[in-house]
Amino acid sequence: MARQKRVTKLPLAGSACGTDLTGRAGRTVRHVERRQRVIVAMSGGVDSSVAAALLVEAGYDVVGVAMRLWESNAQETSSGCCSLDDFLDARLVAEQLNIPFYVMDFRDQFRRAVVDDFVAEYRRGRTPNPCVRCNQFVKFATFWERARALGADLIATGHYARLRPGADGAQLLRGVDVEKDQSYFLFAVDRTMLHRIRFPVGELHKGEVRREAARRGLAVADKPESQEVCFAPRGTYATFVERQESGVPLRAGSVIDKSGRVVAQHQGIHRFTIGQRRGLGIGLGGPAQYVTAIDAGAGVIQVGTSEHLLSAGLVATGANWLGPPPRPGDAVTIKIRSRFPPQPAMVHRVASDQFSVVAEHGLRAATPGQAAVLYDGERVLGGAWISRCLPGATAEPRIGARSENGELVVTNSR
Amino acid sequence: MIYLDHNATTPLHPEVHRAMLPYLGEVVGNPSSAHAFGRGTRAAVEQARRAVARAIGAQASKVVFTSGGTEGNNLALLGVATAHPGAHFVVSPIEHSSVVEPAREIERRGARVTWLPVDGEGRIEPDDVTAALEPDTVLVSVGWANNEIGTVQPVRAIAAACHARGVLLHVDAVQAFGKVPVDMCDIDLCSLSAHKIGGPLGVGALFVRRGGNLPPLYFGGGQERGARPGTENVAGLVGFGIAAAMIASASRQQDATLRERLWNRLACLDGVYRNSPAEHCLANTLNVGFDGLRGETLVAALDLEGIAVSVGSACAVGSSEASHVLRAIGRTATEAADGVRFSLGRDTTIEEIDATTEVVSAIVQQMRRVASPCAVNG
Repeated sequence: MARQKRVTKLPLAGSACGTDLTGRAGRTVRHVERRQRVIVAMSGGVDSSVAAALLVEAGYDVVGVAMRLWESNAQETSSGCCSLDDFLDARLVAEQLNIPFYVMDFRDQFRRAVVDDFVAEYRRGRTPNPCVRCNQFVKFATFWERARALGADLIATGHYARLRPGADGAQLLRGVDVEKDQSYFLFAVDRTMLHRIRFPVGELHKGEVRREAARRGLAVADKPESQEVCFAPRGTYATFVERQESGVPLRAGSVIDKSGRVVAQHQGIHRFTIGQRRGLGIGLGGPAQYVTAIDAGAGVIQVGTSEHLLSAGLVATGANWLGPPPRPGDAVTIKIRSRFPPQPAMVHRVASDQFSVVAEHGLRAATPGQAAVLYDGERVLGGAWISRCLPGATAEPRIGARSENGELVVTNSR
Repeated sequence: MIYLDHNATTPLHPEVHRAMLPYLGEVVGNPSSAHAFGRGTRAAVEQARRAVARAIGAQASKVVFTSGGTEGNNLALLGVATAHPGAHFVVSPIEHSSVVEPAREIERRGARVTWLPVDGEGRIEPDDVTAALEPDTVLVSVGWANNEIGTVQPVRAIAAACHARGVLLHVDAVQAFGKVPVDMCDIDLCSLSAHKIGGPLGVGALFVRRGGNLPPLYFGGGQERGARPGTENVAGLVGFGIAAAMIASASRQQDATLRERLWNRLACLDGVYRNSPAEHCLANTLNVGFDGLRGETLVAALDLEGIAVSVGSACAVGSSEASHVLRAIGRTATEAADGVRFSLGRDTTIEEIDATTEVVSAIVQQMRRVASPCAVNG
């Protein structure tokens, strides 16, 4: 079946689409009188490069900024972030697009909000998600402040996500490319910021983005992408955590099974995450063992078999809503890792700053410290940080039963 | 566009351009060749050497051509350190990175380095230089004029102090040459650069009083009496020579009138402070800070409005290091990231200064408005 060639249409600079979102008539008039200035965060990768190109073609007044987030050191950074090569690549693309380009320093904010939290979470026996925090505190917060100082009306990135006007304000949707969708990482962006953001490549598939780059002869069209944490390559997190200064030493400890029996020794809880198989030092033979819980206080790793990784649902705190919060009983889908497909679930409890959900087929390896993001179809409702699992594997949950005071009852089928 | 970044580089003077053109076109010849073509370019290079020597009051035989100020500074420090392993060096803390980095390197290779104190205006006391000298001190390195804040050092007195103790003095005169009178009295090594005086990028010179004592960085065909082999950049050196000759014949030194006009207008804004000294300062250089406003953001905002200035030093692409110069004169780490440098040129006009102050004022006010809590998501 021939696919219709999709031409990306962005709201024209100064058009009503962008300005209607503000809902303020005076601002609408001002915006259509001149081109809107958009600052694009350019990493030197193909996504942000194409994003910038599309904005230029749509008639915006585009300025490219490479964000210096971390001290670039050949040994420490993964390819794809903050190396001198990346800044040069971004600079080259900006030159090709004939737009102004600056490198700006965000290292202080990044260290405080992202790196320090990364280290602290591992030490607490949780698994951090630095990309979410970077979006929350740096890319859509501090970066926006700097953009405003440069007279910007908008900021843009190469994220695979979409924004769409709605009755209750701008809505965040997952990107068209389900494989590459990055909406999960954007759940903690301040809702009042949404109307200031553009995601030009959210309407495209990754393959199309590369073709668009090649079509325009952009220098980075064939550049391999990096999916890693930008300041520490995968496989080096433990060493990274060990190298950061902190009062509490990371000590070795016991690995125990469900009955509390010690089955191995570990070299530090920071080396582990829920669902992990490798590095446990448990002999072969018998069913595969996975990390099921991490007790930071006792320095203990608990392991179990695959079934032990299933939970009925979870509780998440530190919620951020990108729309009206859902209500108990609402059907949603939930993602507990970016690369896991969304799971059908029902909202159990909701407050302004936390929620709990029960998942129809249970949740596997829900990890404290990771983000739990709720979707209503394509739309991101919001999310929060996984605090704990609701225990029990639910094959046939009796969801829907209510107690006398109307509270939803979750039964544990075991 | 208004260009106020002359300390980073200067526009090529039309006369320099004219003089260089034949050497970028029809003229051919390696100055070391024995035939007529070689003799022709050799003559051009030597004429340029005489012009540079005349401009600094030195003999031509003591002028070594280089690729610029950075090479000259490296040649001086690394050369002396190689000739005197493990010796002691005294260096100004507000030097350009092309002096600071070689100084760090010679430390790694076994030399000892003492960094001089500077006062709140970046000035070095000759007595502090004397006090820092040790029995095995071989070299003192002090820049004549600072590129970031413009401070001019008491070179005469420092030179006399070094001479009295038999210690070599290296002076980085890259920013001073063409702006203040420069001569080699009591100076042993002196770095110059063409592109700061209306000449082309990529050429410079090192004055070397006693050539035999300076081990080279390069080894090769023996040009520059072995001090710096390599086929000469003929067109560049011709340009350098013309630019140097123009300094010697310049009718007037650039004065500080426009710089002070700029300062007086900027000073009307709230929370502005001057990092440059008012006295003993290059006439064209004004480094200021604006409370709470990051220098790099201000530079970008000004660029978007067509005004070119700089934060700290131009060198280091993508680097946003806080200025070591501002730290050395007592600024906090935050203040050291806030400094913005305006460096005027000979052709800068009063209209450009006034237009600049209008734009700076508007931008500063906008940036402060944006930063205030009431302005969130307005």
